[in-house]
Amino acid sequence: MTRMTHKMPSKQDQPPTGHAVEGTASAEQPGASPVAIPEPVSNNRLAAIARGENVTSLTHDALKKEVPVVEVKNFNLWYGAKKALFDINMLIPKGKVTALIGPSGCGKSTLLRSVNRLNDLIDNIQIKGDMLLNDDSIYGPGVDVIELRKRMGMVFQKSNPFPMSIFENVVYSLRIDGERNRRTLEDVCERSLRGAALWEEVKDRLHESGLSLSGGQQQRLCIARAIAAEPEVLLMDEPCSALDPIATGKIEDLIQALSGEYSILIVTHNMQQASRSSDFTAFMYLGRVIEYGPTLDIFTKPLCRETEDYVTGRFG
Amino acid sequence: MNKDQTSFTGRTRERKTKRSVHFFDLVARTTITIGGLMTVVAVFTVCIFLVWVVLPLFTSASASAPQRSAVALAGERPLFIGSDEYRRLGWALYPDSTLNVFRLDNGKTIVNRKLFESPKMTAAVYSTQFADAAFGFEDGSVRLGRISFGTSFIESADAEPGLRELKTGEVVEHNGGLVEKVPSGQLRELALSVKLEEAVPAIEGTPVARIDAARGSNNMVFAVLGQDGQLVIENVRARRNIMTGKTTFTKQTARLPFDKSTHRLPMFLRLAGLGDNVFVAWEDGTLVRYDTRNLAAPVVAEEMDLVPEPGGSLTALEFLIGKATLVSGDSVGNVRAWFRVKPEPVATLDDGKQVIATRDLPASVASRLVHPSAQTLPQHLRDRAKELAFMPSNDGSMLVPAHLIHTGKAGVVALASSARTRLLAASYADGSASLHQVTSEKHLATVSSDNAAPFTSIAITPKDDGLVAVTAASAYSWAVDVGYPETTTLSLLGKVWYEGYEKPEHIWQSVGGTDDFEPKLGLVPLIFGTLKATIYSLMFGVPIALLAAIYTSEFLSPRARGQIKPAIEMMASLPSVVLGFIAALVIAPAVEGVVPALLCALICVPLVFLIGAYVWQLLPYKIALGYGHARFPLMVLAFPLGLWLSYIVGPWVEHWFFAGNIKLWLNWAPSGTPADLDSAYHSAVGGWMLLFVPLSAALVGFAIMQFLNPMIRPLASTWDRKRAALMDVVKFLAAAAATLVLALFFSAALSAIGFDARGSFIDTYVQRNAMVVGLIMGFAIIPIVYTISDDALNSVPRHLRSASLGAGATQWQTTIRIIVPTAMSGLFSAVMIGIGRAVGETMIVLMAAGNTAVLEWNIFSGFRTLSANIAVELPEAVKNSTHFRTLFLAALVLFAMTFVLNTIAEMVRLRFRKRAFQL
Ligand SMILES: Nc1ncnc2c1ncn2[C@@H]1O[C@H](COP(=O)(O)OP(=O)(O)OP(=O)(O)O)[C@@H](O)[C@H]1O
Ligand SMILES: [Mg+2]
Repeated sequence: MTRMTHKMPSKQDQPPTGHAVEGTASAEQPGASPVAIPEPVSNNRLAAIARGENVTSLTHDALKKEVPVVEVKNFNLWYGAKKALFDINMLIPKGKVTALIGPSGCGKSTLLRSVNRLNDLIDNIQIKGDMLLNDDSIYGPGVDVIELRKRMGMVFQKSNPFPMSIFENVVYSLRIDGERNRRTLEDVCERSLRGAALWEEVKDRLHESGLSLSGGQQQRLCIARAIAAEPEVLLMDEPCSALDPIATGKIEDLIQALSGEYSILIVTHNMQQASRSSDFTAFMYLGRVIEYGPTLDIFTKPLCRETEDYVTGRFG
Repeated sequence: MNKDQTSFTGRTRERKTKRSVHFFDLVARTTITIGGLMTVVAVFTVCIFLVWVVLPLFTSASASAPQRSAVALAGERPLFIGSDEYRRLGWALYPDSTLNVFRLDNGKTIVNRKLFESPKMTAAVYSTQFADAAFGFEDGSVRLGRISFGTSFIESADAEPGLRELKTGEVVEHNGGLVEKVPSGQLRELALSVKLEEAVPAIEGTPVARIDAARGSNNMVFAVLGQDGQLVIENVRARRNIMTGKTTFTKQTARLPFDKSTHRLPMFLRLAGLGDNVFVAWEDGTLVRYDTRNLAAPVVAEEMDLVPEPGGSLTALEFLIGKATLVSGDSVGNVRAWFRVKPEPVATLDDGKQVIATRDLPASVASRLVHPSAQTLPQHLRDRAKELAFMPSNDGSMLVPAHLIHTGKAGVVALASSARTRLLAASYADGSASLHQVTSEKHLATVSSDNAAPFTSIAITPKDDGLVAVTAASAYSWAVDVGYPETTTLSLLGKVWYEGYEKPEHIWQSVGGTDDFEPKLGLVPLIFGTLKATIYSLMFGVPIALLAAIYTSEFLSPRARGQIKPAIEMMASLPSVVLGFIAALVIAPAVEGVVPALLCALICVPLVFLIGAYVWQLLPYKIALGYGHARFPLMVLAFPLGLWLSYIVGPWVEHWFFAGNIKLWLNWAPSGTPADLDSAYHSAVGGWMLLFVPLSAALVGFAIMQFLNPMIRPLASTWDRKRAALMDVVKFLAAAAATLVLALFFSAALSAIGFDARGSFIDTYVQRNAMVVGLIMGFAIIPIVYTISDDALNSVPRHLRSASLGAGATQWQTTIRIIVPTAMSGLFSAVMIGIGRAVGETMIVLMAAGNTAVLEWNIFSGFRTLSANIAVELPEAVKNSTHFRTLFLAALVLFAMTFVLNTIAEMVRLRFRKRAFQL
């Protein structure tokens, strides 16, 4: 008996799963009317999504008490003809860590990148809906994208220090603002590096290339670079996916330390990480937010079965 | 069962690599290895071939052991000696008019006869170049003659019985000549023939003491000095009547001012090649030069000392081929070559003589040339006496000692020049003799007699392949392989003092109209031309290509980029011969009429562009965003708009800055007269503006960025978009105005203190010039530089771009701070490859550069590049001649230049890439 035959039955006792849905999800076009989904939630939500129907997301009441830093309102996004985000409605609370989880390809990065409009660079992108950053529109007409981005920081999945010195990497955002005062630059550099728990390791080699650091150090350098800009919200796209457990631990500690002062939106595949370091968690699936609530609730008593399946690892 | 056998994918993968795969692997690997090796071998073969052709240029000449033989009329010094072109026979003419023909192999005299019995010959001259002789007699008459060897070939069968049995190579005397059986089986008969013309009376009542003659195309000029001091010059013009076939002679005679009472009879009388100058020289080295261009009024042009060394005396004075360069030999052992140069006169003395100065003379020579009368020079000229050599002259020319060919301890005894090249042989009192090339001052060979007896007479054989010399007792002959005497490393790459030039210069002029042409094989003008072409085309092409690459890769949407990139790459497929053709026949004449407009375009097009950009910012955000896709076409539109603007502005600029006619303005050179100083052309402002507008723009831009922007920024942050944009426009217009004012100020200041750009990067306009080539060749290198840069910029990892933009940088900041530095290696190699292309480009420069090998940066003049020069001259160069080999040397230099460039490019690229790898 091969492994193949062994696996088949276990697949069959699940509801229609990911691979069956892929093709139809893209069929929906801009402007398709939302279809009401009957409450209470049942395990046929995924089937409904697979059929191309719209489902409203479940947002826990705990979030209503939070002050939002970013507010996503009926946000839809298309890559060409392919729809990647469906009617997203989310409040990212201020001073908290919010985690985005979900299977690969569900649109987490897309959503994250939409917050600071990095998706604008991609050809053929279409957007409906809006987001608010501290009550200022992000997608409204007359918004200066550059000014907008200056209010956010972003850390990418792959560490991407610039090919220049550690110092210059950290103060990059000040440089582009035209800051010349040496003292200010040095101050900010030190504080940001301390904030990113990197100072002790690099304080003697600030003028070496940022590329000479290890992968974990590079990632922390990128975080330092992001917090040097004093962002209103810090966006992190799987910041630890390429790191070993020790470096990951450091960054998780860092996220913990930063929360409160910064609002953080973090994408992660690591359930432990999400449960350890975030205050709120949103579960996304096929471009939709399925469930969104306090991390503890999402991991211990989710409202949705799909969420439960996913967080317990029983999912597709 | 069946299920068990099939695998996951339904097929069983064969784990063993197939034979055929191994085979093709091997084939591919070998092919690639062979291909790579072949490329290396091919490059090396080309290089080795070039070196192999070039190398003989740098080998030295060699002389064989002498053939020595006794000679008749021992003891007496012959007037002239010579040999035939096969180096079988020698001849010598003695003062008593005895002509002695002897065999060079055994010294046996074949002919010994007296040419003239009565009247007695008192003077004679012989020109090796034309084998002409002129004789003067005691009765004052002169006769022209020709002393030359005649060669005839007889079939063995037709020969006399005694000659038929000759073996190949065997030589016998026959009828006052030699008969030799040559390898082809024929018999070669060799005999000296002397043809004499009728005697003509030249001077009255006194014997001819010195004589010289010069042959023109249809005239003959004599200079004759009588024993009593009469010095006459005669121009005999032959005119052939085509109808009757009869030739009539017209004779024009002039008596030159010569006072015998103050001078002894001169040793030497020499008549320059065209009969336009007569030189009279005494034993003490004094030389008087007569200007006889106008026979009706000949004048003493200058007087000078050929032997400045104290106690030295002049012992020999001969012309080189062409009779323009005089070579003097003196008793202290110096051999110098002198020729006339015509420098700018610097002052006129009280006695009416023009004082002329020549620059760049070696200090030792210059100090000697300061004539006593130069003490009466105005002070400012006397101050320059150290750097200039002053000579007063009546005809504006001066004789300068251009080459010091030999210095030795033993005095010079005899000099001889070659009949075909600028070779010179000299014999010395210590029994040695040497052979030199005068232009390159290359020493070719030294020979000497057996017993230190000096050679009283010496000659170079007609084919430059040997030397013949006689001592009092013996005749000597040597076979000499002179190699390639015109070139030395110094003459190829250094300044050489060519005949008639005011000072040593870098010149390339390989072929001339006449036999006595002095080849000028300086590679520097060609290398310079190559660099000039490269630099001017890079100045035009590289910024455009790089900016275009930055624009398409960073600012244009990928879709538009996908359309534009192939279009630009298509430009590369235009054959350069077509571009060259267009440049020469369309662009060059078109540009000639609109030079000021074109110069304005350099400013107007960017200006329109920038104004457009600022106006765009003024648009309401909605419109600006909504019509974002129209930005690119609008940008393209800025180009014709800018051109149109410059077309309108051009005439005004020409009127205000270039006195209404830029070509005359460029051509104008101040002569120092007050009228000239007042002239509208005097102002140098326009020229400097070309330099200072861009410089000031950079300066103003820098000042704004450094000082103004930090001041404004705190204010501007509170403004709304519209106000900020308006502010930007105002700032820009102010900056533009400031740039103009600053440029005007600098230009006017420089012009006022007397500096003029004319003569440096701008000067006389010629139709086919560096600007035209720059435009077209720039156009030709744009595609390749663009493509490589664009690829380099695109290969910068996306995540760096995202990181920078995510940090709030603008596109432009991202480009300048992140993308360009990261892509530096690619951009650098793009530029280097562009340079390589420009250096090797042939057809465009061949057709559009005018091919004048001038050494000036003037953007409005032509030039000649190494590659174009090879293309033009190689088909006509005689195989294995110096010229031919020098062209190969030019090819080698070109090869080396591109090789070095590419190597540097590759090295830098690798260095940069190491860094890029870490990303
Ligand atoms: N530039 C793009 N052009 C077209 N489609 C894209 C583009 N980027 C992402 N997509 C599509 O959008 C969907 C969401 O992608 P996204 O990168 O947001 O997923 P993700 O949740 O971040 O996945 P992962 O966890 O693997 O990073 C995917 O189906 C992907 O194929
Ligand atoms: Mg992702």
